[in-house]
Amino acid sequence: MTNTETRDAEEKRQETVPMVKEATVKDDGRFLFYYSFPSTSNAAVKAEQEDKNV
Amino acid sequence: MSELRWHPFLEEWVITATHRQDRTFFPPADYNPLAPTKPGGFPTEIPAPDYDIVVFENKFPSLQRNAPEPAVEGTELTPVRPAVGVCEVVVYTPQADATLAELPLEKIEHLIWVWTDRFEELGSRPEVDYVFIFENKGREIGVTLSHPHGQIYAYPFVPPKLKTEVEAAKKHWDKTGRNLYLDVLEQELADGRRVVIENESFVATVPFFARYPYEVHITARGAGKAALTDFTRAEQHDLATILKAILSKYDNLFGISLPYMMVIHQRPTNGTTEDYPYYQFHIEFYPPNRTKDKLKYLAGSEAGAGAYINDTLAEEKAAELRALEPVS
Repeated sequence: MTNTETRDAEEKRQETVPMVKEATVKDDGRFLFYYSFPSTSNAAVKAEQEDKNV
Repeated sequence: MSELRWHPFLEEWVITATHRQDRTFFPPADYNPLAPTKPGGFPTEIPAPDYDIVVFENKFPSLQRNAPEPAVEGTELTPVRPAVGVCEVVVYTPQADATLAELPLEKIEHLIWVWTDRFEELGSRPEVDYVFIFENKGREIGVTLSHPHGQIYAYPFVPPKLKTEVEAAKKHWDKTGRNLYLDVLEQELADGRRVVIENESFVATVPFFARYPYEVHITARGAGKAALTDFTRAEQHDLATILKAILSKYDNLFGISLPYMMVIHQRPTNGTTEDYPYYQFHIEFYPPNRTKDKLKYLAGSEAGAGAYINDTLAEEKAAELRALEPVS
């Protein structure tokens, strides 16, 4: 695999992973990252269940 | 106090981190620092009331982004360095009583995406030479929080074991022009007795040279696979599948949630995969159990001489694991 092919594969992977990262800083200065997966996040699943219950 | 002290006899760094003596040790059940913070409840490490996967910097890190200057003076023979680096905690799920084996396949795949992101981000830091992702599971391993989580250490040096692996692989590459890991994998596949399970992208074996009775290595197939960032979506899915299969087999072994150390071995981050064509991504598992009730301890020979003694045969243990569900 050439460098260009490797780079292409890398870009393709990044483009297609449905993941959202939210970076925050805690009160004591430590970093904290929330990773969520829009189609299947806990919050999304709960919202879907609530919709079904209505 | 926190610093790196050079061990001149073994030619390796020792991390001194005295502040870790105060770290949380089996908190009461109603205080779980890795749980979400519920409205009106006590604040945990994670302020949100819900989450999928969370990563945060360890409150008691061995390595620190802004490491203090060493508290002691080094010498030419025993130099010291600031313990620069990053230590992160990866919380797999808000469900406190789950295990990685029990998570749905999709969630394990998500975790692999997160590992990949952390490898990229931490590995891009100039002071970081190696990103080490691992999980200690079970009291037998010394885990102090039972909520399912792993850790990441971003070291300012290539740790000794990884350095030895990389050097051995380079030596084989220089001699033969071939990848040592793929050559050993080819040998294992041809023999077949130590293969536990395989799929299109990965092979799990109890290696010929296993040091623990139920040691398993999951090795990536194919060239150019030295780090998580080298995998396609399909390969990430295959990794999640084989990971879940091995963890499920472990739990089916004695009918208990098997303790283990899971360590991810990747190329150093002081270069790219093109710089390490001789190295191969693999995951190693070291469960301490010899039987359901007996543990293997690292005693005199292992700790004092570095010579492991395995009372079992890899071929027999692989057959045992192979026969357990899930069978492919």
